[in-house]
Amino acid sequence: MSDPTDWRDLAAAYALGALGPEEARAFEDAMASTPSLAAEVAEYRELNALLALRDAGAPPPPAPLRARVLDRVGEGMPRKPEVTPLPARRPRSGREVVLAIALAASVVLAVGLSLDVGNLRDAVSGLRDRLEETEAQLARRESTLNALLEPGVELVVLSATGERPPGIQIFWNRQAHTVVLHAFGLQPAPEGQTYQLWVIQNGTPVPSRTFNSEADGHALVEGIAVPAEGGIEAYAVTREPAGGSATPTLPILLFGSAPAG
Amino acid sequence: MIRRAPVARTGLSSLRGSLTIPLDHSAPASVDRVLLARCARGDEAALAALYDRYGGPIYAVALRITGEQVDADEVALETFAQAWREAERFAGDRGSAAAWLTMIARSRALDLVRMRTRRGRLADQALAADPTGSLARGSAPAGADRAVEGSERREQVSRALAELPAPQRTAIELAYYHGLSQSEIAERLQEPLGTVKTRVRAGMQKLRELLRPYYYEAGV
Repeated sequence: MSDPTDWRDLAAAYALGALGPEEARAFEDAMASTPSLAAEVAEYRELNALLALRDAGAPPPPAPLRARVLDRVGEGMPRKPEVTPLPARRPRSGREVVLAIALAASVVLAVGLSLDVGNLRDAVSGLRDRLEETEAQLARRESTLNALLEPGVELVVLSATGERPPGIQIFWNRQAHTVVLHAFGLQPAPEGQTYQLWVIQNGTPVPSRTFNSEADGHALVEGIAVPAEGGIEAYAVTREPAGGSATPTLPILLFGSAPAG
Repeated sequence: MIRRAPVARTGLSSLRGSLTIPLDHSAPASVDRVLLARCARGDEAALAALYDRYGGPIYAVALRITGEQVDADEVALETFAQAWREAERFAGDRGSAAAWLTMIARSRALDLVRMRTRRGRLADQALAADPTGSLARGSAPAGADRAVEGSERREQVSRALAELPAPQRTAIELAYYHGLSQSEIAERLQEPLGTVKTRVRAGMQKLRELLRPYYYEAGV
C-alpha cells in the first residue's frame, strides 16, 4: 500500500471512519507526508457535512436544547477573558524571558537608585502609542464584526467561474440600508482602473462605491449606502476607469441575485 | 454616495443575458468564521447564532446515529461545547465550520454508541427498517428552510443521493451512521471486502463530483 494512488483510493473510507484501526493509523502516517492526501480527506469531510444537512429530518432538536448548550458553556467552561487578546505573538525564547526579567529588574533598580528615568519614560511612551494603535485596530475590527452580526443582515454572494475564481460577499443590512463588501481572490485592478459595485434596482444598475483590492486579493469596504426605497434585485461588480462610471462597462465580472425581501 | 444612473432602464433580463457567470447562493460561510472568532472571545451570542445555523443538522445526525433522543441531546451539547472551547484553534483550519462540526458530532455520537455496545443491535434495527439506506430520504424540519441556500443545498444532496445505486448508498450509510468499517460492512452484507471497498469509493467519488459546487465555503 505504498503507492500514493492506492492511498487516495482509501481517502473516502478514511473520512467516513470506515478503515480498520491499523489501516487508519497507516493512512494517517501516509497523510502526514502527503499534503494532497490530506486535501483529499478534507474534501470528503466537506461532503460529510453536506450529507448531515440532508439528514436534517424530523424531529427537530428539542426547544430547550439551545438554552442547555448556552448554559453548558456558561457554567462548565472557563470564562474567556472579556477583552480581546492582542494579536498572536510568537512564544518568547529563553533569551527573551531572561531579557524581560532583566528589564523588570532594571525598573526596580531605576526607582531604587534614582537612575535617569528618561529612557524608561520614552519606552513607556512608545509602548503606549503601540497600545493605542492596536486598540484602534481592534475597535475597527469590532465595528466590522458588529456590522456583520446586526440582526437582519443578509448575505449576497457574487460569484464568477474559473479555476480560482474571485468571490465577493455582500453583507446587506436591509434595515440600515447599508452593505459591507468583502472580496477575496480578486486581482487588484490595473493602473488607471477601479472596481465598481452596482446595485441593480428595479432592473436598473445604480452606480455605487468604487474600490480596489489589496495585493493579496482582499478588499473590505464598509458603510456602503444602498437605495432605501426597495426594489433591489441584485448586486454586480464591473471594472471601470479610475473614478468610476455612471453606466456599467460590460462584461460584468461578478453578479449575485439578492435574496427576496 | 449613491448617484442615480442617468441611463434608460436597461431591464434586468438584458443585463443577465450578457452574463456568463452562474448565480450562486452558497452559504455565508465567512459568517461562520466571524461567529467562531467571537466564540473564541467568549461571546455566547455568537455560539447561539452558530447553534441556530447548524443545531438542526447536527442534532439530526446525532439522533440518527445514537437512536436515542437523550444521547442526541448530549452529542449536540458536547459538539457545541467543543466548538466553543476550540474555536480559536479552528481558525487555523482550512475546512468549513460545517465540516468541522459534523466531524465532531459524528465522532462523539459513534463513540457513545460504541461505548454502550449497542452498535450491532442498532445497525440491525436500522438495516431491517431501511435496507436501502436512510440517506436517501428524510424531510426538512419545520423552519429549517429559512435560509435559501440551505434548502437548495439539501435538494441537491437529495438528488445526488438518489443518483447512487442502492448498494453504494447502503455501504456509505453503514459507515456514516453506524460507524462500521469496510470489513464489518462486508461481513454484515455478506459481500466480498473488495466489492464493499469499490462501492464506498465509487459512491463517495460520485457524490463528490455532484456536490462539489455546494460545499460550504471554507471561508478566508
